[in-house]
Amino acid sequence: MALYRKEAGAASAGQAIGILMLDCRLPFIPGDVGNASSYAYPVIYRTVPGLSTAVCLAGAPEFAAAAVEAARALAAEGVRGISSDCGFMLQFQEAVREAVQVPVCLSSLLQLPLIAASLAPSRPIAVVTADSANLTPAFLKRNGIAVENPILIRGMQDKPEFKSAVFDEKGTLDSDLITAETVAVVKEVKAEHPDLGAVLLECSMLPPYAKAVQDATGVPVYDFVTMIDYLEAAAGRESA
Amino acid sequence: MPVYETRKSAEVYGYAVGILLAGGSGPAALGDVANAASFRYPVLYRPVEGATLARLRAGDPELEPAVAAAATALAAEGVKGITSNCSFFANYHDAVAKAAALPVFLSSLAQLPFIAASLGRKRAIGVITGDAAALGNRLSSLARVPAECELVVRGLEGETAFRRAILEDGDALETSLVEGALLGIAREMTRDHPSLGAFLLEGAALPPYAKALREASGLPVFDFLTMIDFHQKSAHRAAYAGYY
Repeated sequence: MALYRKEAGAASAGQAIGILMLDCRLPFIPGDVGNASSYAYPVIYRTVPGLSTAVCLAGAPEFAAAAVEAARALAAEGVRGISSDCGFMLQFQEAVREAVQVPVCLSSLLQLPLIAASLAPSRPIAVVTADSANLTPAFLKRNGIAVENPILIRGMQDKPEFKSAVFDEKGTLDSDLITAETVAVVKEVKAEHPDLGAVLLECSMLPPYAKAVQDATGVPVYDFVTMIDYLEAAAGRESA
Repeated sequence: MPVYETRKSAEVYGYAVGILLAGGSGPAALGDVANAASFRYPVLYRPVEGATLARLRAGDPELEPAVAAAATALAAEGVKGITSNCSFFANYHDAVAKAAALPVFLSSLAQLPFIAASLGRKRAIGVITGDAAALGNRLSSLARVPAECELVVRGLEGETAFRRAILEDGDALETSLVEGALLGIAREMTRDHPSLGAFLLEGAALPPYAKALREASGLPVFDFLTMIDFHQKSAHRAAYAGYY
């Protein structure tokens, strides 16, 4: 390919994946969806103005149009796929996937059918979320996610460091403490369900702890980054 | 993990993924599931005795013990997941999942629900398979395809270079001829179905052509390798090193 044409609307070129962002200011450490060095390819971000963490988690249909607008802006930049930094953006999946031409995977939860298909139906899948009060079986069902395997939903909302860093936005994040908090959650699940088949880290701030979770449980660990890497492998311009 | 225990059932260590092999599928080019260099991690192959395409396709129950035995053997070597080089192994998914308490992803078709969820509801998925007649109406029994998702299925059985090498287990494969034929079929598919949103290369011999198809069509292309890499990565999480 030697003849390159200008893409109208693109400020730059070569962006593989576009990522919709919540409107919040948090320390996005390496491994976090909001840290560009978590990927082996270039990504570009676009904030959905006004969509705070709390608003998104509580359910915010009034922000669907803003999410679509941000996704269209990313598509205009030439991205090959669109994701987000919050699993609860699943609520905008329908609106956004209809609005752009590229594949859209706004939530890590979209991996559940892939994970379930790889396990015997009796084996439970643990979903670790920022807030289990909002991520309910009804939320999954309403958004078209149905799998046979038992889904064990566990939240981080009561863990002091996670809560103060993510929900209270205190301005710092101690990743050693959150490692310990996350590992405690999954160890408890594994103890209750020795036949645990996989862990899905729903929250975009949890991929940094995937290795610790795997070391603690011995099962496959899926998260936002495994999904975005998968999307890029299929849709990316240069992958073999 | 400073203390390592002997795994008494294992001859050697370090294989990431185990791959069940069907018999007689021709030369395995770079990119083929049966070519070890298609992966950035070590894979371990295990031919399944008596696993002909016809028996796999029919889900012959008499083949089940051999499939389960091969899966057990791979698990004993310490692989972290099991796949195959023929989507019809999915007929034995339950037997394999029971024989090896590991993630089991035997068919590239398992990706269809994810692909469908990522595209607008009016977009179709183009499935290119080795032999469309062989796949026939078995798609729905091999994968949970959402009812509303339109699939456009085309096969390579009419393409001489592919048929002789792969379907008739030939001695030689000319990949440039197969690539040309596959791209020709894909062009017809996008012409007849402008709503096409993604391709799935179903066959384990087809990933060598994914890059050319992606460039020619501009659409996402899923195949056996995208699925295997996805599950492999989840089973081998690494620490992050990046910028802050």
